[in-house]
Order: sequence, then C-alpha cells, then structure tokens
Amino acid sequence: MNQEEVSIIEITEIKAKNPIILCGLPDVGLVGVIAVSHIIKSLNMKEVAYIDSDLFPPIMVFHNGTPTYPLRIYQKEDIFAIFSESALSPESIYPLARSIVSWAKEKNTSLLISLGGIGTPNRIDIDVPKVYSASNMPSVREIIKKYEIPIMEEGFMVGPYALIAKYSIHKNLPNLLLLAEAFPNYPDPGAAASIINVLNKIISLNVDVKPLLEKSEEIRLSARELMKRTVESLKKMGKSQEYEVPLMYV
Amino acid sequence: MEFWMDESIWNYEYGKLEPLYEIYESNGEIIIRIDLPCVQDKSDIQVNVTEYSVNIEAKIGRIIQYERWGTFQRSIRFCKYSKTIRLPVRIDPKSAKARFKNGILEIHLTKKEQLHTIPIE
Repeated sequence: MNQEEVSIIEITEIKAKNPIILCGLPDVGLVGVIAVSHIIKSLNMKEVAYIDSDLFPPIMVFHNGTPTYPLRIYQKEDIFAIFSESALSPESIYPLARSIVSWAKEKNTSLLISLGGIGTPNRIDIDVPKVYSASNMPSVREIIKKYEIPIMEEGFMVGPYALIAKYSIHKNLPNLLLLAEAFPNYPDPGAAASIINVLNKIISLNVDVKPLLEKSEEIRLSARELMKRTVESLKKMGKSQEYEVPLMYV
Repeated sequence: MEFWMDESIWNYEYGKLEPLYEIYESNGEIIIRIDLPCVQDKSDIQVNVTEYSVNIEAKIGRIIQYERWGTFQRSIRFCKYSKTIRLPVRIDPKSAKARFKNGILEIHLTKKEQLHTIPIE
C-alpha cells in the first residue's frame, strides 16, 4: 500500500444498481455515526468492505472476539452505509474523501448522502432539531425542495464532508449534505433521529427512530470517548471556521 | 492511579466518569455546559463554585456496569460523574445560576473583573 493511499477493500462480491450511499463519519455531535449505526442495525445490513490506510491511527476494534477495521462499509440491496468507529486524523481526510468519491463513482452511485451536524449554540432549548441541506446537483436540489428541507444558503463547511462535497463536484457525482442542528461537543442522538426522519421521506428508508431516542442517554454515555477524540481532531482541521461569515456579497 | 492513558475520562478505581463539557464567554458571563447522560434529576447533582473553579458531582441514575471493560477484561461499575473545572477568569460565586435540561447542566457565572470604559482622545 502506498503510504499516502486509502484503500477500500471489498470482502465479498458487491452487486448493486445505482446505489445510494449513506456516509456516517465522525463530525459535529457524532450525528452521522449515530444515525448510520442505527440504520445498519435496523436494516440488518451486512459488512461488505473495509477502509484502510497507513494514515489512520493504529487501531483495530474487537467485536465478539473478532478484530475488525474501524472504518467499514455495509450493504442492504441498493443502499450502502459507510461508518467509522474511530476519530479521523486531519491528514487522512483528503485521501479518504477521494477514495470514497472514486469508489462511489465506480459503483454508479445515484446519490452519496453525507450525514452530519451543524453546531448550534442554543441546542439545549431545541426539542426537535431542524435538518439543513445542500447539494451540487440541481436535480437533487429539486428533491430537497419538494420535501421542504431548508437549504444551507451561506456559510463554511470544514472537515471530511467538505472534501467529499469538493471531490463530488470534480467527479460529477450527486452529493447531498444533510446537516442537523446539534450539540457541537456532545454526542447527539436527537439530531441523528432528525436526519433519519428526513431520509425516511426522501429515500423511503423506513427506519424507526423510536428505539434510537429511547436509548439516547446510553448512546451519549458510550460515545463520549469517540466524541472527545473527534472534537480534538476537528479543532486541528479548523472547524471553528464554520462559525464565520463568508466574505462574498457582504 | 497513574495510567498510560492520561487522557482517559473514567476512573475505574472510584467508579467515576469525567463528563464532557464546554466553556465559553458571552455577554460578560462565563457559561459552562456539562453533558450528564443518565442523570435523572437535578437533585442528583451537586455544584460547588469558588472564584476560580467549579466542581460538579452527579449521581448516575443507574449503575453502569461493563462486564468486560476494554483490554482489562474485567467487570467495572460506574456510578457517578465528577469534574473540577478551572475557570479562565475570576467569577462571583454568589451570582452563579444553573439549570438542568435534557441531561445537560448549564451554569452561568458572572465575571468579577469590572470593565472600565476609557475616553478616546
């Protein structure tokens, strides 16, 4: 493996027709990770690939006594889910985003959906977080308009999803960003539930969020370490720039 | 116990977890938000404030037990959160206010330093 390279290694033969990919990488409030983890369990998705790189921390996860790669891809029919149990180092996100977008293009993906959060200072007073959206494709923007999902009109985005959005433009791959209002520094299952509810509408995912909300406190407790490491990593990526105002048109 | 994972946010010997928290300044106040999942009621939380620090102790509603904790592979129980936060400025302890909502404790502290507006010549 080239030192700079990120590899997606398929562990089974993958067949899918114009799949939809859900991307749950560690970001604000671990929204994508929590949402994708719940989707994988609810739909009983099967592991079909893992992602590896010398730029990742030297970590393996043990599940039921079996060592497992922290970054994995799951599949159920024409839906894939990318999921990470480990925080991403700033150095790894460029080749990782490039690999994800190239792999998605190779699979003739109809839509790559990045699931994340927007740090919201008054989140404590929000009972049901809103979900904002953005896409590089007019056809996808029509879908989000149809379902009345507010569009993120202006602002910066920093981190792995920013790079996935960037490389999706380059590869002409339809990318949709779904970002829920979230606690910036705490795991936020409520925000993850809001994202799943949007997915239920736009791609008929049919995943019940009730079990997720019922286990919300336990999830917040068990995700603390991943959240802490993710916050440290996001700081190094310059995540605070998301709270700044872009200059254009001022 | 000195352990090689000095960044760990748990202490298995005393059954304590260190909560995640954020601290920032807004409108002359220091605001601290502490994530306390599984704490059931405000009566389970004790907050002690000095001019320089805030200490939080909170009882976890049910005992959190891991049968095979990490590489230790042994049973570990956690029953409370504990954290002392050093403040970036002096505050007035008597002005401190707190609320507990959806498992988040929010503390507002008034800065003790006074602002003096100076004339611009």
